[in-house]
Amino acid sequence: MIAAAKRRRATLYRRLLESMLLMCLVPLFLVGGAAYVQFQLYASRMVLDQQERLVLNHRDFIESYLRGRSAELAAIANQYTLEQLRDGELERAFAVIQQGAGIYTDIGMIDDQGNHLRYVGPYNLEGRNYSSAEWFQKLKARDLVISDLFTGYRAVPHFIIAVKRTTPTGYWILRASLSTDYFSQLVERIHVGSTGEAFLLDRHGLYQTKTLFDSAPLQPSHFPYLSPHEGVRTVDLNFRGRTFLCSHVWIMGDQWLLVFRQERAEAFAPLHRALWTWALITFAALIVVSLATFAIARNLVGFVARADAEKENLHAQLLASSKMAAIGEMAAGVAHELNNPLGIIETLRTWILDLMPEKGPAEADVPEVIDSARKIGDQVERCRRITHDLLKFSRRVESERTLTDINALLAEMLQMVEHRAKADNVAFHLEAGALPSIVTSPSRLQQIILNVLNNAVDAMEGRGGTVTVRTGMRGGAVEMVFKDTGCGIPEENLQRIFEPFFTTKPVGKGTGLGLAVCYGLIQQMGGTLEVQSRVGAGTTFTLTLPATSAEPGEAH
Amino acid sequence: MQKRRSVLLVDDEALFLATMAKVLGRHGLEVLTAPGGGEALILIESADPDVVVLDVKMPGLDGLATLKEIKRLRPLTPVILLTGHGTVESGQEALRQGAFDMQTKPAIVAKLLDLIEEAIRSRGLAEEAARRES
Repeated sequence: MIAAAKRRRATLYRRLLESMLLMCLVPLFLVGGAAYVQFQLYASRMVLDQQERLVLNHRDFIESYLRGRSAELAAIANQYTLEQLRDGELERAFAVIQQGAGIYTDIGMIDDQGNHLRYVGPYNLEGRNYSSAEWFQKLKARDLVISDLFTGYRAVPHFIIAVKRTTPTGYWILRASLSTDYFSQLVERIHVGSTGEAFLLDRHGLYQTKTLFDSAPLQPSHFPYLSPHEGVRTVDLNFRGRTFLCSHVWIMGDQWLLVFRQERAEAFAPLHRALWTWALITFAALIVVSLATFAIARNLVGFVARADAEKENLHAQLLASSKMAAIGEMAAGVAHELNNPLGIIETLRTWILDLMPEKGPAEADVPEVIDSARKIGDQVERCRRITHDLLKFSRRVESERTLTDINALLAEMLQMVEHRAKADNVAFHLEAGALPSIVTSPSRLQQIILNVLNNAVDAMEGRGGTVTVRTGMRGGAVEMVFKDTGCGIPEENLQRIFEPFFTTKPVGKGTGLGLAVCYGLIQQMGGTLEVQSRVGAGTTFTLTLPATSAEPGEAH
Repeated sequence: MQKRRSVLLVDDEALFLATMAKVLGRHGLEVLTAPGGGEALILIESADPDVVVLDVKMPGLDGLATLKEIKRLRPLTPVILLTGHGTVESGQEALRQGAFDMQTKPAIVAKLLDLIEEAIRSRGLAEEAARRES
């Protein structure tokens, strides 16, 4: 029974753990997982937005810078005449716009035939003809050209800004080349972290500025997204085995592609740190929840274990008190029975004394005295047998399981109860069938049988009757049938007969525990106890015990 | 000539009846015996013993039921009960039903003799009183 309770508690513990962990962890994972995904989406979007905003701002900055430079040159072209510039004003104007910062490399003026009329700068370009240059051709239709990076006569990559001054007689051109280094620095100035950088590509994908990792200006970039598009786009690009997040936007109309790229890992590093923190917190919560669950489950099961122990204790007390009650009832019957031989002994003693006055018995009375003494001996033997039976019963208190001959046990029990029931004129018949000896607890079985027999005798209500005990095998079980010819049990009582404290005996006569305890005992022993009854016809108790009599969970 | 005083012993133990009969006989009583309540009633009808000694616990008609019948047949016959319990309730019940007195089993013969003497005397007085009244 204790082992069964232990198994039950182990199951309870497992179920508690399972259900509580499920109840705690499923919401934790759902909420945490959803939060994780949402946060990742949101934060990724934030990173991309930030990078795209950066690119757009940078585009505006570069465009306004180039517009500023164009406006400067246009101002010079409008302020001076061809002649003034050719005859010395060009140097002064160049000095003004240069501002000592080295924004420009050089400046020159070209007539409408492409002839370089005047040049200020480090290269010897005066007298060169640009009529076939791409920018010169474009200027025929426009007032301003900003060229792609090209090498030209000087054999050094450079940009030029050319403005056209139209006069009544024709036009001339003021052309300046931007300092490639200065412009590159301008474009590159938005370094972010160790891998974030900006650069320009022309429509053919040639680098217009320097970059951190690859290339010099005019080298091909192999950047695959060169088709014109509106606004900023962001793509992942593999580059030298690393993934870069590339945001790109066309600037100056569709002349150049401004690209900002940063290694993805670096761009998302703050996000990943946040996610790691989240994962750590989640893991900590998981551990706390699991520990709490284990603790609660253990406490609950401990509580149940204490309740079980109390129940077990109570059960043992109940068992002991019902055993005591049964013994008490038995003892009362036996004590009563002892009075008969004692009465005879007392009478015989008086008879002997009567036969023997002071001078000794008369010759004729001697056989009478001897006979009386012998009868006293018989009665003493009778008393001895009665007390011996009682002792044999009450001594068998321990519930050890031994190989037991049920028929012999029943015969012994019947003999003992006969002492008590003789005066009630109750007769007992044992119809013993063939039974194997079974391993069981004889003292418990005795207690059950005694209860059933006592009830049978009580059912006769002093009117006398017969109790028939039949034994036999039925379906692999040992069956004992106790049939009495007593008053029977009404239907409404029959249903409650195994309830504790249910009794029909007058107050003080029965505890109402006998059959309840028997029922508990027989269940523990793996058997059954059933009752059938008809009022006025008698009652039949049927007791079965498994022939193997393995008491499940019996650990006493 | 005064009639010999007679006692009816009722008990289901044959040996008890036989021995007690011998002892009481030696003390000058005429002893009748009955093994049960039914036989006792027949003897009371026919022989009208002076006093009855009755065992309470007997198969068949038990002591108290027999007592009731005796009181109905011969209200003046004193009945001494031999009881095993000796409890207050059953004693009261017996006295209420008209028992003269009771003896706890196992009965001490000397005491029982005293009780029998007393019962016969009281019956004599009762009968005297009844005669005077009539």
